[in-house]
Amino acid sequence: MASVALEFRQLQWSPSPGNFSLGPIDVQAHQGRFIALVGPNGAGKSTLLSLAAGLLRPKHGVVQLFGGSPQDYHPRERGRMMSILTQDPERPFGFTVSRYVAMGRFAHLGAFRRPGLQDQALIEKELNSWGIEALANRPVTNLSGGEFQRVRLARALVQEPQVLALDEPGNHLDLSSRVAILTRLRDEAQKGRCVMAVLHDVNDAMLWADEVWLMGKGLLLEVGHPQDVLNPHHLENLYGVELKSFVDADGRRMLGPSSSSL
Amino acid sequence: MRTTDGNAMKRFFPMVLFLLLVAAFLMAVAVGSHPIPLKAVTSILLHPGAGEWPHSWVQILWKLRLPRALAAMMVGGVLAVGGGTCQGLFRNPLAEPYLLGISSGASLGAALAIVFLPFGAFAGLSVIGLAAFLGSLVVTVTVFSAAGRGAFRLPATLLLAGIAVAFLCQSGVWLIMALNRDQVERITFWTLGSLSSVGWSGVMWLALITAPVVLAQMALGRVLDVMSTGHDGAHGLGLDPSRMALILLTLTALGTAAAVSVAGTIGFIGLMVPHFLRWVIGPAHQRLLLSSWLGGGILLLLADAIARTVTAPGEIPVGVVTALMGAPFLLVMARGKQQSGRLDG
Repeated sequence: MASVALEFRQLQWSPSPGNFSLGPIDVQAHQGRFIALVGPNGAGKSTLLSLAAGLLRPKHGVVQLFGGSPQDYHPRERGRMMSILTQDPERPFGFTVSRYVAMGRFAHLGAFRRPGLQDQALIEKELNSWGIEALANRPVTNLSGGEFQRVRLARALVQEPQVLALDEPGNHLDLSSRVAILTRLRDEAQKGRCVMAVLHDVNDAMLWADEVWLMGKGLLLEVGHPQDVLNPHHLENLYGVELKSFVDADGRRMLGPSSSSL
Repeated sequence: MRTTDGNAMKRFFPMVLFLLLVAAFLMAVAVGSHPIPLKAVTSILLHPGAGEWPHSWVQILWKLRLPRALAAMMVGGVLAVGGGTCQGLFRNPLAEPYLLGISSGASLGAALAIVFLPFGAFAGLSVIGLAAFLGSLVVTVTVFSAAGRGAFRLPATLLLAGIAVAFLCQSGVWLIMALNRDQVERITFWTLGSLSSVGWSGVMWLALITAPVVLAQMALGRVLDVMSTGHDGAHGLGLDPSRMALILLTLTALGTAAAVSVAGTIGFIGLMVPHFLRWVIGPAHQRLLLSSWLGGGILLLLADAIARTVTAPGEIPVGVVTALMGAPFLLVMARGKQQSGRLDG
């Protein structure tokens, strides 16, 4: 099996006042895998990503990013290992799309080097691949939700990280953009990156992910292949919705609410 | 397509500002209660010992106007750069260098010195100026520690702490004024800001502190760009936001403290200049902070020239002039924003 990118060992976390608690969680994320984090709201998926990125400090246990704690690396070294797309980003006033995407190179260039020709080429390539090259000179504050989400994905990829952590990457996106993203994430995983994404649509996870981590109430309930993990038996109690499994015309198994729950 | 969003105007704007700064500087040393022709000004500045102009002109220029103009330039510059830094850091176009309570801390220090240690100087700086400097630094440290670690994650905690400490200091100033009615005028005048007592020692003091501070802030321009994406965004891009915020705010506090120790709490420059320039040349902080230094210098040179000429040989406090310039400016900006439907730059 490919080498371990992220490892959680006996990981526990809770906010200082609050009734939520995460863990204990023991699991490994390998390179070359597209891992979908699936579970109801409040299951702890975003918290787990924040812990992986070093945005939160574990209360107990350890998070290891390539063998070290994400909080012990030099911030730029950590930035080259991992990029994280959080759920509710702030839009820095006045920055154009191209400058915003260029910030993805900060972990490589640092504070005192300007982007060189190779960096520029990479930025242009990503703008083109997301179909946003026409927006390059527009301020990010003037974009629609879907346009901005694509700009953020371009920035995350320009960062060229080993691990890509994304919290609901399909947020705000229409069907074609969502398909484009999920396909791109799978391609990035096939190139050897470790992709971890919170996905809310179980069928998206079924069709694109290599591995599903099913979470509920702060615990990791199941880890495994999407076809094994995502079945009515595992999900019905978790979501409180009756589900039916069906096979589409191409022979792929999918899930939907059963007619009795409509 | 290049990923710099600079059209030619934006890229050459700092050059234009530099030329305007030179012009404003020459104008500022030429005008006053004894106007000196520009030709004489340049000749005296370039050949101070030549002796072809009246001795009194040489004296006025070298002893009074030159240090005063240099101080105006550096004070205006460092306030504007501090404002630009705060606006980027707090992601708020209304942030300014006084918002951490720095100005009220300086006022309290100055008021205490005016009442208890009214005379004397130390290392070329008046005791009042030194007390203001210490007052602003004490307040900054208090605000930082009150807001606690990780304050940058929630800038509101830092701002709240700043407002609370500012009220505390302000009530201290009012108490001192109530108990010392005879000093009310001096304290008030100091609070409004003035460059009338600046000499060469003040200029040296300003240069010593503000030059490294401003250069460091400009050097961290790209860091500020990244910081303006917010705490989590900056963290993900590869920096430690809390540490960088602490460094940038400490620089701002030092520069602002040096400015108020020499010139009192001159308002509006730190708010107005970077706000306006962000609108003209965009938010990339290296260029924005360089332009802010030039623009702040220009504005305070002009304001000070007005302050000492409209009622010559008397003077009005330069803070009154900047406020008079600033208020209508902000109203116009607000109206423009309302029409474009945005409040963010």
